Amino acid sequence: MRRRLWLFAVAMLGASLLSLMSGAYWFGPLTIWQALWSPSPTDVADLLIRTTRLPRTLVAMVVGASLAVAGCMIQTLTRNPLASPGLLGINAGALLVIVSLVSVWTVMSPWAWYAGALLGATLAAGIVWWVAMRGRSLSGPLHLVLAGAALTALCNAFSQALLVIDQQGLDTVLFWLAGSVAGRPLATIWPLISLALIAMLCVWPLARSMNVLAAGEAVAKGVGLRVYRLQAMMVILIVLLAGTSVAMAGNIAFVGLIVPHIAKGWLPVDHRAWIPGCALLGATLLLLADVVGRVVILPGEVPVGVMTALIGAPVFVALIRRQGVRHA
Amino acid sequence: MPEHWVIRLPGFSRIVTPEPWRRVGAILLLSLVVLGVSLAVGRVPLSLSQLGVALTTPTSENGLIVIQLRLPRALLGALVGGALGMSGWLFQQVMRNPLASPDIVGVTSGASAAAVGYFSLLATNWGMAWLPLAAILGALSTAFAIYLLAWQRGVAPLRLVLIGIGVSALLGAVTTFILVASPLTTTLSAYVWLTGSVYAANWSEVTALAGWCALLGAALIPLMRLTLLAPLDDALATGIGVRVQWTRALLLVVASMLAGVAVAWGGAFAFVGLVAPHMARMISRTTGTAQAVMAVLFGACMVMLADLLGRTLFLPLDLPAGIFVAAIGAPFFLTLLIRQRR
Amino acid sequence: MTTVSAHALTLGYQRQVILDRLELTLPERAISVLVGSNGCGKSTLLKALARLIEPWEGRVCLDGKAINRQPTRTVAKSLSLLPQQPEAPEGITVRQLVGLGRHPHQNWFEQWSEADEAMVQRALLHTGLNTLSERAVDTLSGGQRQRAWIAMAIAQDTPLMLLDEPTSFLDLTHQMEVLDLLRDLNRREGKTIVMVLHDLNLACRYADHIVAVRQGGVHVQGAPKEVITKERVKEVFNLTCRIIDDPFFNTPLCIPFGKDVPG
Repeated sequence: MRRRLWLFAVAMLGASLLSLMSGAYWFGPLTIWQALWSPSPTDVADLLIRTTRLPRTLVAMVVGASLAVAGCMIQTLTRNPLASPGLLGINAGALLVIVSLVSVWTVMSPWAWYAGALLGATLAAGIVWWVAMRGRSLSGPLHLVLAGAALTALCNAFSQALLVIDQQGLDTVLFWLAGSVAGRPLATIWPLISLALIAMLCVWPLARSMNVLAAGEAVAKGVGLRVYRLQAMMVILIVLLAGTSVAMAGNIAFVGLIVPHIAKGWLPVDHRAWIPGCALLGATLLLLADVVGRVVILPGEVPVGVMTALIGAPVFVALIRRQGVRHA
Repeated sequence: MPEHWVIRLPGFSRIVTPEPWRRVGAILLLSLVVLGVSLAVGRVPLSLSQLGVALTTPTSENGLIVIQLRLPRALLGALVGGALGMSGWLFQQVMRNPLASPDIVGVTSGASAAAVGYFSLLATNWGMAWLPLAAILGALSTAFAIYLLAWQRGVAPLRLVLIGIGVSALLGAVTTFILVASPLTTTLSAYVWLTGSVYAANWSEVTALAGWCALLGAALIPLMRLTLLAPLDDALATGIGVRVQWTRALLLVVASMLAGVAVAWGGAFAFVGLVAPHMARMISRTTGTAQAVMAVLFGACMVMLADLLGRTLFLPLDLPAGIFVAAIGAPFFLTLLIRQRR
Repeated sequence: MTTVSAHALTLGYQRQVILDRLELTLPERAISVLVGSNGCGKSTLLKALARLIEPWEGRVCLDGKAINRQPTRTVAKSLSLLPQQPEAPEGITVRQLVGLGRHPHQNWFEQWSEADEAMVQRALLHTGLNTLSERAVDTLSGGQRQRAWIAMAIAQDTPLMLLDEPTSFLDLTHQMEVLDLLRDLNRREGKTIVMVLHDLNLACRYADHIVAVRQGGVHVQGAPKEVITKERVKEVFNLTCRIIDDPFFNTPLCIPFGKDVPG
C-alpha cells in the first residue's frame, strides 16, 4: 500500500510539472525551475509561468484532491457507491447563488462570487442535512440522498429559470457550468486554497473512525464511536471541500464520484489509505485533464470539466469491468 | 371491505388488493383536475361553461385555443411525464437502487448528446422534424452500449448502474462541449431542450408519442408480473423459475424505450423519473401494478402542472416546463420526506 | 419421483477449486443434511444442486437429466430453494411473497387459480402466518420472516426442497419450530428435503441421511448413527468430542471438548 501511494504521489508531481510546462507555449523543466525559484521580473516566460500556469496548476491540484476526498467521504457516509458530493446539493446551491448574483444583482466581483458560492453550498447542504435528520436519525442514508437530489433539482430549476429569462447571464456563467481552472489569480483565491487545505488536514484524523462507521452504524455505536458527531463533522468537511472547489472551479461533477472508485480498486480497504489515495489521484486526474484540454484543440480550450469526464469515464468503466464491484 | 378481491373466470384468474387502487383513483381524479385547469387557464382565461362550449365547438375562437393549443400541450406533457414516471419505476425496480432513474443511468444523457449534436450540426439543413428520431436513437444506442459494457456472464444491477453513470458522464461532457463550442443561438435552443419543454406541441406530436406509449404499454402488460420479481435477489428468482438475465434485459429495454421516446418529444426532463416513483412508493408501500400506475400519474401531473406554471406565471414569457417540474415536485417531495416516519 | 445427484462435479470461484470431482446421490423422500466446517463447500454444493452455479466439469442431474439443460421453470416445478439470508423486496406483503412461490405454476392468464389460493393458504397455515398475511415482510420479526420464506418454498409445491441454513439467526424455540415443520412436510407429504445445518446435534435429530463434506468432496455419508462418531467428527470438523446416545431420542449426541478435555 505504501508503494502504491508513493506511486500516486510521483504521478501527481509528474502531472503538475507537465501542467507547468505545456500550453500554447512549451517550457522546459529548467525554465520552470528558474521561474519558480529565481524569477527575473522582465522575462516573459517567468511571468507567464508565475501568473498563469502556477495558479492554474495549484487550483487544479487542490480542486481535484478536495473533490475526490469529499466523494470518498460521502460514499462512506451514505453507504451508497453512487453518491457524490454534488448529491448534498452543494454544486446546485453554489450555482444558484452565483447565477442570482450575476443576473439579478449584476455583481461581477470574483470575491463576491467565491463567497456567494461557498455560502450557497453551505446553505444547500444545511437544508439537506436538516430534512434528512427530520425524518429520523441518519440511519436511513436514503433520506439524505433523496433530500439532496430534490434540493439539487430545486436549485437547478431556479438557476435555469433565471438563465432562460436573462440570456446574457447564460453566456457569463456558461464557463462556470462547464467547470474551469483557468484565469484564477492567486491573489484572489488564496483564501479558498488554504481553506481547502485545512479541511483536508482535518479529514485525516477521522479516517480511522470512518473505517468503523463503514462497518455499520450499530457496530460503530457499539465500539463507543459518537456516530452523530462523526457524521456531522464529515458533512461539514464535505461542504468545505466541495464548496471551495465549486467556488474555485465551477461544476466539475465527475471527479468526486469516480476517483474514489478508482482509488478503492487499487488500495486496501482502509480509509487511511483511501483518503491520501483519493487526494493524489484526484489531483492527478484533474491536472492531466486540464493539460490535455489546454493543448488538444489549440488555440482553443476544452473545459476541464469536460476533459475529466472524457478521460475518467473510460478508466472508470474499464475498472468496473475488470474487478467487478467489490466494495459496494 | 374485503382485503382483496379474487377474479376467477375459466382460464383467467387474478388477485387484486383494492386498497392501493382506491388511491390510484384519487390520483387519477387529481390528474383530471390538473388537465381541466390546464385547458382553462392561460392568456385567455375560460370559465367552466366557456370551456365546455369551446371543447364542443372546435371552430370557434376559444375552441381553437383549447383544442389546437392547450389540449395537445397538456396531453403531450402528461404523456412525457407518465412515460418518465414509468421508466423511473422500472429502473428502480430492476436495478434495486432507489437512485436509479433514466437521467442517472445514462439514457437521458444519450438522448441529450444526440439531440444537442443534431441542433448544432444538422438542424440548419434538415430542420427540426428529425430531432425526435435522433433523440430516440441516442437513448437506445446508449442503453445498448451500457448493457454490453456491463455484461460479464450476466449483468449485475450495481455494475450496470455504475457503468451507466460513467457513460452518462462521458456523454454529458460531450454535450457540454458542444454547447460551449456552438454559437449562442444554438446554445440557447439546445439549453431549452435540455431543460425539457412541451412548448408549441401539436396534435401530430401527441399522436406520435401516444402511439409509442401505447405500444410500450402493451408490451408491459405481459411483463408486469416480472416487474414484481425483478427486485428479488438472483438466487431466489432462479429458484422460482425466473430467467433472471432475460427478464432483466427485457425490462431494461422497455424502460429505456419509454425514457427515450419521452425525452425525444419533451426534451431532457430531469427529476420526474427519479421522484415520481418515490412519491408512488410513499403513497402505497405495497409494490405492484398499482404503484406503477401511481408513478405514471404522478409523472403526468408533475409535467402538466409544470407546463401550466411555465406558461402562465411569467406572462408574456413562456418558460420551459422542465424548470417548474422541480419547482413543484421538489417541495412536495421534501414534505413527504420530512413527514414520512416508519 | 424426483431425485437429485451430482456426478464428477467440479467447480469453484475465480481460480480456486471448491468442489473436486464430487459424487453424490441423495435418497428420495428423506431428510438429508449437509454438514461440514466453515468453507468446506457445503453451501456451494447446495447452490450447485439448485443450478445456481454452473459446474466447470461434471454435472448435476435432476431425475437423471442434466439440470442446466432443463428450462429453469421446469426445474422450479420439482425443486424449490431457500438461499441463506434472503432479502425481501421493499414493501412486499407476506401473502405476495408466499404467492411468488406459485410463479412456476402460473402464466399470464392464470395468476390466482384455485390451486394457487389453496397452496398459499396451506403454506400460510403450516407456518402459522395466516393472521399476518397482509403485513409487510420487512416489519416481521426474524423468526416470522424465516417462516415466511419457508412458506414461499412450500407454496412452490415441489417434491424436492433445498434449504441453506434455514435455522441460522433463530433462537432455539424457532429453530425447533422450523425443523419440526420441515419434518412434518417430509413425513406427511413425502417431500425430499436437503439442507445445510450448522448444529450437529440438531442435524442428528432430524436427519435421515447425513452427508459430511470435507475438502471439496463427500467425506462420509449415511444414517446419523453410522456417520457421527468421535473419529469422524475429528476428521471433518477437527474437533475433539465424545459421542453419547441421546437419552430421549436415541440419536447420537455430540459433546464437544474445547480446551477443557475431561480426564
